[in-house]
Amino acid sequence: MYAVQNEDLISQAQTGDTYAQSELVREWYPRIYNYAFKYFGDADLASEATQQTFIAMHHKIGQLKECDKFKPWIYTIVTNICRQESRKGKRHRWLSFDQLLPKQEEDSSPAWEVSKPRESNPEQSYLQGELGDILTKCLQQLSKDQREVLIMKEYEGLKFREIAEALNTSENTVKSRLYYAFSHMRKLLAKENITEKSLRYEN
Amino acid sequence: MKTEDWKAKMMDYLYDEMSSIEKEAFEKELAQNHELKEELKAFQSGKNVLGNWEDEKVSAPPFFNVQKSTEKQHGQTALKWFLSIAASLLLLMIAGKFTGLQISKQTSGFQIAFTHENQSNPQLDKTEIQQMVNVALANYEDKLDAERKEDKQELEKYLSLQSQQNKKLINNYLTGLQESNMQMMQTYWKEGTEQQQLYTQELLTNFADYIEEQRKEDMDYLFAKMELMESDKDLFKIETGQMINSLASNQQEEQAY
Repeated sequence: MYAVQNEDLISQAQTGDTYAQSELVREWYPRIYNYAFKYFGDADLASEATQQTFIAMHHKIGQLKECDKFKPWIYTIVTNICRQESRKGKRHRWLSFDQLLPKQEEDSSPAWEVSKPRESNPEQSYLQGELGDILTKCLQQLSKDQREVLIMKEYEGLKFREIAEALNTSENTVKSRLYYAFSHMRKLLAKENITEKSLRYEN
Repeated sequence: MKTEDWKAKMMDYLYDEMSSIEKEAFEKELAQNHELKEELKAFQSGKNVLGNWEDEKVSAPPFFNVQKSTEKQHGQTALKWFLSIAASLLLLMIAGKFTGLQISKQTSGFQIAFTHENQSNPQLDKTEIQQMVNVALANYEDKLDAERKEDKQELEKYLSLQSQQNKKLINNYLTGLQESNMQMMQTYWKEGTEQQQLYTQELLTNFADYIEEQRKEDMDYLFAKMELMESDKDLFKIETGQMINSLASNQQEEQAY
């Protein structure tokens, strides 16, 4: 997991140093994008949320009192933006191009693919893509609270204290949400026939 | 057993966020409680499955300048300009104080002078000015001519040098081209002749083979025909013999009657 906590950079960014701000964006962009991507399971929405997060960071970084709280602070911003986008998404249903294509083409030609330079091994890349699709589907079935906690803990590597700060709740609530998120995920993965053994066999 | 406290402890243990004392106590309980152990195992397995999902590889787009920063920059630039103008004016005032700067406006115009005012030059005669202008123009013309000549010479020198170099270059290129063409033609003729020789030899060999084959076939045909004639002759001989025999026997029978 990323350990990007450069307090000097943050304090420079707070003074309006454009270079420091762009460095922060460069360092944090992959983390924030991946958080949003796992939250929505959609690359376009993830890009949109990430962009909005960094615009908000630019405007509000002066308000951050302690530089060492930057990590939970930025996750608070991205979580709020994801929630907003999610609410908007319920009002406006997004359609991708391949959903708009005529149905008859689906059988004869593959769906539109986004080129992702994941791995050099095509088989590994395919398996990763398959697993990613299944996990995205399962994550979308979790409640918003459980999903946030699970992504922050499992994929972003935040401490329980940091998650509690980011979500403005208690550590015990975070742990409880994570427990239920795991229990729920286990059932969902079992339905999809995904176990540790099956993964080991495929790899 | 499934109290909220234990659930929290299990999460702490799963992510290794326990103090050593808490960890020891939890492991003790784990050793005694089979149900808890199974649950933890299931959680660890689920965690391992989730851990197999790798991040999307993305990189930040070029940083965008937001409105606020440009405004700030504009503000800073304006302040810089203001401060630099103020500093220049201050320096000018100090320098003026020490050098006795005098600024005056007369009928002839606006004057700035240091220490004391200069007396204006007595007015020159019109012809003298004309002469001065003519002399200056003549000097300037001479200078221009000299420069032009020098430039022309340099240009000619440069052009002749360049043309020599170009000629040399073209000659070299042509010689090289001629040599390579000659070599190419020689190689072509040599290879052509060799190939023709080979072709002719092959043709002759094939023709000789053909003639030989033809002769063999003719001979076979001849022999076959001769054998046929021989067998016809034998048959004719037998038939003649039979006819003679029958004639002889007929004669004998007639004589007997």
